[in-house]
Amino acid sequence: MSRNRQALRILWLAGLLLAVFELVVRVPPWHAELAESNFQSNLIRVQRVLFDSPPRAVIAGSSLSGRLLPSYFNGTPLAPLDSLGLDGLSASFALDLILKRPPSVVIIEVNTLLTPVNQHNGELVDAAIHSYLFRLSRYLHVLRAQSRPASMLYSWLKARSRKRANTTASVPSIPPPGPVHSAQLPIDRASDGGLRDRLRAQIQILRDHDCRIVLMRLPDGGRAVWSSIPSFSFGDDLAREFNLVQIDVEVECSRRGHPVSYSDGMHLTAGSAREASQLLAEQLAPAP
Amino acid sequence: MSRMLFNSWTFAAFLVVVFLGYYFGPSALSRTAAGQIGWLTLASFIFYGWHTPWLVILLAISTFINAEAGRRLLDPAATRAQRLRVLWVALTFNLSALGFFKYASLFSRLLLPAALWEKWKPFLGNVPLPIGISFYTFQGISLVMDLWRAGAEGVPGATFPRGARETLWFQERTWFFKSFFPQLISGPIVKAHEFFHQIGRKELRNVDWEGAVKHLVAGFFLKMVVADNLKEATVALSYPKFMGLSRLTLVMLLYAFSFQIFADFCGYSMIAIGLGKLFGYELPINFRYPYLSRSITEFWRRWHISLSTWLRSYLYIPLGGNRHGSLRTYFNLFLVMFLGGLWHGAAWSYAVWGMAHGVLLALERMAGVRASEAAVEKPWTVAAAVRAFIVFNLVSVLWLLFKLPHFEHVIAYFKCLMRSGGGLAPQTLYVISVFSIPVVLMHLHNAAGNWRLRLREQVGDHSWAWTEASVYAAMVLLIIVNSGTPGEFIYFQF
Repeated sequence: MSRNRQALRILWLAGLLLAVFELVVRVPPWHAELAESNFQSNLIRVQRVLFDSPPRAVIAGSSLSGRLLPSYFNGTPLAPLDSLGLDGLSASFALDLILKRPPSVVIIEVNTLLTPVNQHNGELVDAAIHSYLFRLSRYLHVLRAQSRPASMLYSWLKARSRKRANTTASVPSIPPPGPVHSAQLPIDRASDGGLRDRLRAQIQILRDHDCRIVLMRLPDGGRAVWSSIPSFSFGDDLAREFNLVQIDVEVECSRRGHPVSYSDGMHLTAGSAREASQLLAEQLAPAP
Repeated sequence: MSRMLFNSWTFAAFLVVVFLGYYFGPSALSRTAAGQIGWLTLASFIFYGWHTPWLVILLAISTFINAEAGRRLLDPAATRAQRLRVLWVALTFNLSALGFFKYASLFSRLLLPAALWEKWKPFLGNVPLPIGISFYTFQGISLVMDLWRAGAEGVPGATFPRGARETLWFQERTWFFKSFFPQLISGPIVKAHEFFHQIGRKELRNVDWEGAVKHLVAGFFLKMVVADNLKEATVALSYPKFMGLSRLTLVMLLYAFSFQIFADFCGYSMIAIGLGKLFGYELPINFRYPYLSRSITEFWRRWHISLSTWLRSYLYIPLGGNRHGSLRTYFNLFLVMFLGGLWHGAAWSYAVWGMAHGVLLALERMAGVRASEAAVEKPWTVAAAVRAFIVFNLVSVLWLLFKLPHFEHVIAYFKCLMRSGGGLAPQTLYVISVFSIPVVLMHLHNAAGNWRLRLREQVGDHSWAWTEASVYAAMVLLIIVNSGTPGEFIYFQF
């Protein structure tokens, strides 16, 4: 009998812990902004966009724009902003999710517009989104990726290191190669498998919802330049067709004399990402 | 349909239905041993065939033949020669089935002339590997070997069936022994003499709930929180992903894979034991803190115990064990481990892995190392800790052959390890550090045996029970809030 009592004790305590944890993670400081794995990072972003109070603006893109954290936009006219800069995925995947709840402003990362999505990452996120647990996480915050203790600790450590990096010497930057004009490179129109049409349709639906759509070119260290060129060119086409604003963050940074630095030769460091976010917010602020 | 994994919702629903039917179903089902066993056997076949239904035919044929062989082995009227013939037929059948489905491609490529291999390649090169075949075939061999050894007396719970009714009952129990779903796909490998005597009617009030809950919680924790999260990091331990990494990251990745494979397989075994308890059956323990081993010999007393005892009982001892001099003993150790390695998969990397363990076991034997049961309880000294660390490193290095099945990739890993520089991957190191902690803690917890007992005496049983319950409750919480990306169990591929 006492053996059964111990089993009950375990289950009862687990229930209690779960209830307490549910209350704790409903308080904002106990939210992870980043996670220790790409999959969990993506889930955090997706759940915020789909379940939290509707943001004013959403960024759609890949891990390049994933570096522009929502907290960098706090206090700017774009706040509250959510990011669907998804690791291993691209703008088109993110736009599908945004269409479920269109915000006022959608910022689309141009760099990876035509980059094929990492199929494994896409399938994982897709399977997670269609799971019962994901649906349940709308109501139970303990089930959200932002409530994972390991991700909270990781987020906190990252925030600390970002703070340290801001107060100490600048991060060594990996200089990008010289600019390559999109017109110089051939564009393989056949290889994108209807992605262009899909993006056009997504943008059209967003426009029908009176969304303000902005195209954003992010610095990518030149590492991805060759694969980005068709996307840049397509971004130009979209801007013309739909009369969209396009902001080239790299050009803006160099115009202002802000050096851009990269953590791995392609993704922005925390400092540069913060500056890029501020710049973006300024550019998109309504005229006084 | 996707595979019915222990950590899936499909399995949770399946378990609830099977459990309710087993204890609360109609009288014919839940109030008689035959009903309960029939119900569990049916459930086990559904579980097994969920993903690939045709597999149940193979399992059924294997089970029927082993049961029939078992019945003939028990026949008191049979002569020794007749019984020996039955044994050989059963062993040949079991090994042929395993050989065909698992090794057809490997051995035909090796043995057939090139022209013939090219001709048969489309067939022999694509023989599907039925999941769990290595495990249930070994259980079949255990059945016939145990009954052969026991003679006409049989083993407890398995005696010669007289008449049609008893024959049916014997068949039913054998089908249940071979297919019991908690251990069907990845063990623990159950031996006939450990299991048959347990078969009978079970009542809900006799269920060991504490044992079941603890094993299930610890098992799911190891699988879903530790192994599935470490998997996110050890993805980098694949060619060519590891090429640009720093020496520290490479070493950490190797340790992480050691912890992952332990957590994954030990987790599965614990879940299986917990599930067995829910239905009133005790499955054998499969892991006893293997990374505390102070020798490779001891490691094999702590790692995949059901396989190592199987190899000892049904291969090493029949080969002569240590009864025919030193040289023969070393050869037997080598051969058993070589075959044990091949059992894991039809690839030379597994064979090399087994041979390396065989050589290490033989070398230890030469050096006079013995793995007596008492060694497990020996006190910890600095020298013992150093030995355990060396053994852990040896075992971890050999796991590389599991993770990187191509030899050139293993060599590339060591080349990367030798050169300096390379990038540090903070995200990977974070994942490894955080999710290795539970495995390290559980080993330390066991290593601190006496200290733990003293502490328990000091705090008293009541406080100890609450503390222990809190730890398990915390594990439940982490299973719910901090699981990794779901995935299959590593040992499914074996």
